[in-house]
Amino acid sequence: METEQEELEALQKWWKENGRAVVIGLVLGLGGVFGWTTWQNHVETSAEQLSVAYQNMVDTAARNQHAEAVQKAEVIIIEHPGSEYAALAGLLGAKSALAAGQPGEAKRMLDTVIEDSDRTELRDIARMRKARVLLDEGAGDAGLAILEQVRTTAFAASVDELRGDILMGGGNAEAAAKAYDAALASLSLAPAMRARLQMKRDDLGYQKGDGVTQ
Amino acid sequence: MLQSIRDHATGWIAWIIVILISIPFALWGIHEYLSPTSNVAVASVNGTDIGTDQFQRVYQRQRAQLQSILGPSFDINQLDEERLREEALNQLINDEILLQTALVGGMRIGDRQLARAIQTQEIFQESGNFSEALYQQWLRVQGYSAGGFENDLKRSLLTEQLVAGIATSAIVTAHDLDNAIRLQRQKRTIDTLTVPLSRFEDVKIDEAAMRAHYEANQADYVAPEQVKLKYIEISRDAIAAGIAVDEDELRAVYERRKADMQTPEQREASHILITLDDEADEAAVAAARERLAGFKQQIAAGASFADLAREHSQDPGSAGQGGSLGAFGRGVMDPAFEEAAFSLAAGEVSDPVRSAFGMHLIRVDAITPSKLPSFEEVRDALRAEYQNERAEQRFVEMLDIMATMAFETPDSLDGVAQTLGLVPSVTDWLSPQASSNSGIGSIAAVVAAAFNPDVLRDGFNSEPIELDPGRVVVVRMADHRPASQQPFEEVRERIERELADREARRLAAETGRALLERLEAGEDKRRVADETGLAWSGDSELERVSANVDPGVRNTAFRLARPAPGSNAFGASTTAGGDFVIVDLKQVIDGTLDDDEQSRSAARRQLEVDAGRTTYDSVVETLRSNADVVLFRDNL
Repeated sequence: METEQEELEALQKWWKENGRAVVIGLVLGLGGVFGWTTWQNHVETSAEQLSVAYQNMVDTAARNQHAEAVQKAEVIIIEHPGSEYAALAGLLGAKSALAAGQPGEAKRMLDTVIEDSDRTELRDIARMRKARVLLDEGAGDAGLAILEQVRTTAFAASVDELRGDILMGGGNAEAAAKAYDAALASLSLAPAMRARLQMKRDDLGYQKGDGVTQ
Repeated sequence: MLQSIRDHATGWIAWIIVILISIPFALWGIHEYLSPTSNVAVASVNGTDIGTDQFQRVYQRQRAQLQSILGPSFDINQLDEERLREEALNQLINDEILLQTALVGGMRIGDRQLARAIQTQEIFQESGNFSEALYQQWLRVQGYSAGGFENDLKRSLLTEQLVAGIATSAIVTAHDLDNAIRLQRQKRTIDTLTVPLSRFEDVKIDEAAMRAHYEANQADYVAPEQVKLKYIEISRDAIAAGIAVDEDELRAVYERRKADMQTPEQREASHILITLDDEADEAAVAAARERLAGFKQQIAAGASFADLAREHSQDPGSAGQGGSLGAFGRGVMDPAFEEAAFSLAAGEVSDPVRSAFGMHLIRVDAITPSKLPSFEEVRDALRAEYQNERAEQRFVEMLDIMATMAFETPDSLDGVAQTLGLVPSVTDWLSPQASSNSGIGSIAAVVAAAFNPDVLRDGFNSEPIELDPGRVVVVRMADHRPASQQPFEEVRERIERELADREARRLAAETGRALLERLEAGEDKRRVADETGLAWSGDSELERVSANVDPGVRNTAFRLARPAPGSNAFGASTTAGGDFVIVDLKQVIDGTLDDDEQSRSAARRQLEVDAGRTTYDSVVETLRSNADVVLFRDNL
């Protein structure tokens, strides 16, 4: 057994050998903690500021100040590209742009979502809405091409409906009816959507043998 | 200890220790979005627990919402509890998933934003400003801690931000809107040819067919289990009717309540007002007084008060009515005005009177004097009130006795009936279907009690059952008849009816289909009908919402392909009554709303809401399929 004296000496010796490392470790560690929290604070603060800007844009859109809402969305998209807020602002901004009579601007906003967002479902929402705008402009074929890229399976029925709308707009009733039938075959449709689809489908008429005659 | 540090703690270990210590600091900040769950979890979403207290809060709130939608008379306990719980849990999980998505995506709500959201809530505002006291009071009433509420609010603000970007942003283009209106408002013109069921009502069904049907479908001809109930009823009205009333006592009540029963004096008056504000100077007041005094003289000389009021009164509410203010009692008008109006005789015109509004010239048009109803007039009402008051007491006493005795001696009602001075009654045979019973058996709660094992198997008294407020029964089983096969003779007529109806429907459809085939082959519409002894009824214009036509016929009309101009499109449908209806679609008129901007934007909003809802649901579905959700149903 070592005596107290020996133990103390051993400690001093250990400190001589390792003291520097401990001090450097402490300094680096504390510095790291400080730096990390400062960085975290910065991230949180800028996220919160971005949130305020987005909320402001949402409120502006809700007041039907379309042109202003578009501008505010623009700022968010440019300053924070790829962020969740930029994607949401792009989607909502597109609606405002359309309401302000600027379909070109609306498509551009949707494009930023399609290109910058890292969330598949948001990109697909933007694709479907762009296809709607294209249909409205008489460019249904371009819309159909965009729909091909939608990957989110939960949107399948909506895509089929939209495809039907575009085909119908192009005068291809038979293909439109098929698209609506595909949408109607989905099991999880909300009642309002099912009723709307059925109405669109019914208007195209049934062939003999489709079961309309009881 | 020190020995072991020396043995193992070299420089790099010290580093690791310090770095380990720093980890909790680094994760600081995210905790405020996590709900504190000190209790048992009902589910876990990507490792975050959802606690029972959170679940209970949402579940109770959804129940309360449902109750307010369905109305107070709806018994919410009728709903499937299991499903309500399931929905509440689903809601919670979806919310949690959305929240996590938002947080992972870098979305945040800052403290200032949170403060602003609270301060702009209308319920926390007093005359336009945020009131800390109102806020604290609201928190207490809702059973929230400030921290808990602010945490919840932060979460819902974040979710709302997501919803705004995903759902509120739904786009409806002019093309979409026109298309929807075209379809929703579409009208279709049809002719119909009906092959009525009544044509075949005398079909004969032979005995062998009926027997064969009976043998093949025995299960349809089983009489349900039935019971007869013995019951005693206490009724507040019956008690009230039996309470003796002392005439002198009624008179005493009348005397005591005279003051309340007296209707106060009412006066109808008209006025001419010259408005003056509070700071009007002497000269202005004098001028107004002068002007009104002039009017008074003109009236005395025969001028019409009403005409003068119409022309000169500055009270916009009454000038048009010739100054008439209608009838009013004391305590309604300005004190000075009231004093003058109540001191004039009918038809008399006052001197100019100064009130807070200005200077008035007042005429009393009619006086309805204060009136006290005579004892005879109110006698019946007082009597009923007297009886009801005492009946209420007696009713509660009897109810208490009934509940206690029926429970303590569960195998008889005679004792309680005797104590309460009631005679037990017995019902007819009752089936488990309340709607097919009569008397108290038509009330769902009675049937539920009657077929409850306590009453049905064990022969106990039921608990007291409220039929409606003021009527309560206790029931017990008097007689019981198990489900039994009905003999053929007993159901023969019913079978005959059923088979005849089925055969008639078949014949109507067969006849109709043959006609339809001829029509589709291009035969002349009118000739086909004439030959069969039927007639087309024509040219009804249908909308999708038309209610004056059989829904099957309407749907057929709207599902037929558009006919080429001048040609026909035929379809058919069987009505609920069994008539076979051939539909000839003649014309489709697409809907428009070109000149109705209001309806257009309403239609657009509806489409936007629907589209947003669909998108939102799909996004939630997608996020959920990617999330790691574990349910702990046992803890629900």
